[in-house]
Amino acid sequence: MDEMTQWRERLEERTLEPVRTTTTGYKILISVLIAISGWGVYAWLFQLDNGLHVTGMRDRISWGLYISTFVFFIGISHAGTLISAILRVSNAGWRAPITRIAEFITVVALVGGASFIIVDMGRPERLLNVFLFGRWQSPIMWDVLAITTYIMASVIYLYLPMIPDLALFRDRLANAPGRLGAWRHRLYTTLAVGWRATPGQHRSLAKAIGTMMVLIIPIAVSVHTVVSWIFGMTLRSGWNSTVFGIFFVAGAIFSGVATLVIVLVILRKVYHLEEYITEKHFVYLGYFIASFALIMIYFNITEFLTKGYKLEEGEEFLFRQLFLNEFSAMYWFYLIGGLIIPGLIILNKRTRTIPGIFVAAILVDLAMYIERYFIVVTGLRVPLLSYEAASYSPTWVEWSILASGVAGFSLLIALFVKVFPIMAVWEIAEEHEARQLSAQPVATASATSEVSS
Amino acid sequence: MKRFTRASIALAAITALLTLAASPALAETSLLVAAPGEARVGDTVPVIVTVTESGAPVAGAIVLLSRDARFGGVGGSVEIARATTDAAGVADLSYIHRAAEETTTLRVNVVDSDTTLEFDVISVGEPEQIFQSDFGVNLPGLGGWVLIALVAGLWMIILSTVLQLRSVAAEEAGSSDRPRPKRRLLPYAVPGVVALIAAVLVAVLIRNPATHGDLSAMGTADRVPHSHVGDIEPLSRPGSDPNTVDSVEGVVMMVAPGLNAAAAVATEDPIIDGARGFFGLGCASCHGLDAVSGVVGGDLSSAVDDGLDEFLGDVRKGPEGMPPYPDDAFTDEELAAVHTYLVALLGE
Amino acid sequence: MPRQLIARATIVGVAAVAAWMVMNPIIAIALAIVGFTLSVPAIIRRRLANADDPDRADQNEEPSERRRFLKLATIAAVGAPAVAIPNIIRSIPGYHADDVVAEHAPALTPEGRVRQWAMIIDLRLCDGCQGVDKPPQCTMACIEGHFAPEPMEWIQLFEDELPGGGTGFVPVPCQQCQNPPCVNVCPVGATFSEPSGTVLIDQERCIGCRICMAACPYDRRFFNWGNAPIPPEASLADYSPEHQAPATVGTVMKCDFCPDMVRAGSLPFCVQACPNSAIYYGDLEEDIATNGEIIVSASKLLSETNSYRLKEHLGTEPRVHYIPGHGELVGRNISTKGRLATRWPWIERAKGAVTWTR
Repeated sequence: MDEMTQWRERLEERTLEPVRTTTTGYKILISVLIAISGWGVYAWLFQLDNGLHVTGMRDRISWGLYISTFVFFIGISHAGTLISAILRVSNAGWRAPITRIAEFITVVALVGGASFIIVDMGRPERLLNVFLFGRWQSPIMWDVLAITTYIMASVIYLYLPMIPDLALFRDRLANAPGRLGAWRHRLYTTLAVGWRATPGQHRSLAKAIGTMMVLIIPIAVSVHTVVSWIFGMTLRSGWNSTVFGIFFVAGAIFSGVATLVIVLVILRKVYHLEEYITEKHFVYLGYFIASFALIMIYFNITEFLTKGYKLEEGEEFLFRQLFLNEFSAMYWFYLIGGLIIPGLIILNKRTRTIPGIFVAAILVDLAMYIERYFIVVTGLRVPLLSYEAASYSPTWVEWSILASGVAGFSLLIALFVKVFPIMAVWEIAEEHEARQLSAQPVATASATSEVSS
Repeated sequence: MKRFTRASIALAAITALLTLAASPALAETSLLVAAPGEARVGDTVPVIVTVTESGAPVAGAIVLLSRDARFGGVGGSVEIARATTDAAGVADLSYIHRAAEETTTLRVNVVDSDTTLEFDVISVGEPEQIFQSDFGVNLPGLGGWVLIALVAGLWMIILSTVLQLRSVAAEEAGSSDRPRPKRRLLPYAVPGVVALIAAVLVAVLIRNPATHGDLSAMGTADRVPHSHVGDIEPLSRPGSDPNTVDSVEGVVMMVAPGLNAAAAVATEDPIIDGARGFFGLGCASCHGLDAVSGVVGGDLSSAVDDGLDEFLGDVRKGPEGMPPYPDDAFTDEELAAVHTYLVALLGE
Repeated sequence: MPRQLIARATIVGVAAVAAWMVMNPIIAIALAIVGFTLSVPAIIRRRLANADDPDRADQNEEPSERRRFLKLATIAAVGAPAVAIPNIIRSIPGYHADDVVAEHAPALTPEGRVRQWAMIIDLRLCDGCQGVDKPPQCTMACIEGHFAPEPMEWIQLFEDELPGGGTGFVPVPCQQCQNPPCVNVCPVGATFSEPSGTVLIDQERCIGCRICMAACPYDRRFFNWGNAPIPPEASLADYSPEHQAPATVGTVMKCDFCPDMVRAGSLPFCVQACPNSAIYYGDLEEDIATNGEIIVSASKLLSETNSYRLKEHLGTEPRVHYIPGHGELVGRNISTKGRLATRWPWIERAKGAVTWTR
């Protein structure tokens, strides 16, 4: 058991490490991210002052980069749900070291997505009207309901399993010197709500987590379904589709897992988590990416075959711009570079390594952003009456706000790592113990079989 | 819409079988009209016309049914139906009764003939709306309450999980030898926040403003005709407040180039008042910003030369296709100010 | 066991009451009474059980009963006003679109039916103003009458290819759908269907999310992307959803069908301005329409000319009807293409405003 205690001590030290030490590189990173975010805030203020005229959007293509980014961020938020909730429900032990990061990506991505809706509004100061005059018949209202519920549920789902780890931080970081130490002590004491790891507390917590992990799956599915219905409830050629809900959910999980892989690779490298986040985790996540690539290919075929076979009014234009004309280069990149190549990288045993899966994940995220952008822009671009199709190119304001969105996403994750336990220590320990226990009978069984042979 | 009560028509047909000889000058053609004297709005009214010439039925004569009406400043005879007589001289001119007034005077005449016959149809029963938007499929029992129940249910479950925090906190005292810790706020604050957000969401769903005007809730009294109705207190719109120097600057500069805009607003110049009237009451919409070059309305320079009384008279009775604006649309004072403004603008 | 049963029944009852409260307070009260009545036998049964059970009997019966009574009283005191909550929530201003409409009660026929505005555009008479060698006069009058900012053409002329070559012009205002996709998707009820069948927008409530523009299948909604290029005088106009002047940055605008003009005994700007009198405006309820020259029966005109509506298959039920044609009644040559560009008369006067493209 001494080995066990040592192992535990090493795990705790590893988890405490990011909070205890701050490197110069980290400080530079934070400054750069703050600078980019600040630039985005300036761009937004500029937009508030001048109206949406400063964007590339106009009457005929009235949604653009902002709405694409909103859809993309909401998609990314599915990482936490899938990895954390689905794997927890199915009791997959290997999930333990990566759940915390996945759950945090969910919360940050949701906040980012919701803020892009506000950026896109013509009159953001009238946001309160949504609550004063909200109509449940509107798809936007479904989004407000679903996203509010999802944010609340995922914050709770992030917080509940963190309580034992917060208690660990409270106990281990209490003696830090100075104001920082006092501040930390107060924070962790408050958040740990008096966790002493008694059996009763474990029971209560397990009950709460058990409910949330089941509840959050339908909520997450509903969120991306209603996001797709913003488009699906209109009469436009590219959007008027019944598969949109499930298509968006599949794409969301696809890009969410890819984002999780990217964040995991970086954090693993920076904070030396190799002992806990192993190649096995990436291979498993890679299998997720590969299977969802297949699902996405399947959805693309059903979507475009059913439309293209009949080629209703407007669809022909949509097909030409997507597959032959204006957007074809990017769209083929999405289909080949974003769906087929990542799948091949992961299915090939030689490239199924951490760098290989990392590259695949980056390709997937790029492709999924392009896909979201095309869903928004190409759908709006199909002319409704006899006029020349409009064109849309984002302005510096839109690019700046997009950049600050990405920077803000990274910034929040970087700050989170600095304050909160990066891994679920108690879950990893539980899992480790369970494995140790189960390993022994297996060992004896194999020994006896050897004897008998 | 096609509710047609046979009984009422039968009764009406007896009371209103009209026979009228044509004028003596053209004694040859005569019309016999069989039509009910009463009809409900939306009913198909049978109007059977028999055309005879010196007692013999006329075949192939084109018969018109029309009424006089006035709408949008245009008056005249409205053709409702037209039919050709058969071998027996009978033409069926049935139409759907959609009269706007209690008594509709209908006219029957034969094309290329002066023979005309007029008769009245009286609307009976409560006036019922023929056209109203009632699109959509209503599944009985389904409604907003499903969504409310769903949201409330979800949030109840979320609330139940965060309430576990209380049990976690409560266990603390029993587990440790330390002195009893102070009461924690978080296990109460988190459920409180959850409950509050849930309450807001459910309240929003319950409130759900209507977006389709309910015909039954609408009053029956018509409103005063007014070109630009603007009784709602406008919210503050950047750059749109008539009292800011910025927005009237253009007006002031146009009327009196040397005038200080701020001073003009402060002194309540009648010209500025008139400008407010000219643009605010809607004159400029037809007559153009400069009052001489509107696409719809005419050049006002001549009207200005005629003096205030004639100007008032013109507005009240509405010359050359312009609608008449009575006292309750614009007051004399408002119009006088507009006149002052126009004189200042176009006088030279 | 019975206690759990009661607790569960109570939760179900409360949930049912809450759900129904939204629909009908009377039903809610009835449910509460029924639920309470049903729970009485259970309470009595439990009391008897308590009497038999020595453990329970040991407990001090008196305060527990009193506490239960107090609990019930509290729930009643808190719960009774709760029945009124839906009505309270709805009484906050803005619940009904009537708040806007009531200021402009719909026009009625003399015997009290609500007029149902409709437009019939006779394309046989529309030559795109090629005959008068001017920009389309309907668009120009609309722009001037509403101070519509550049580049908004609330009624816009599109040039359609004819099946055998040549072109024909189609003026397209807001189609005033009776099943309006834009109204369905508005999250705040800023756009609404008025009893006269028109679709209006309240720019003072619009949040600028632009989902209505995405939903409109006719591309007839316009957004104020910047500070609108309108004459400064426009700010003197009194705003109403029926006359959307002045334009407000960050909100959506469109053709309002000019019900205010018709109430005043006049006709919409486009109808008045058309040199060929190609646009009829009328009331389907009274079955009447006029183009400013002659007065006709709307239903008869629609039927006898094989009129059609744009994108009828979408089920939007527009109130704008078209009589097929290409200006043949005014002698237009179908091979003469193009129309003059629309001009905004105040463009040099709209200082500080920015113009944007469509």
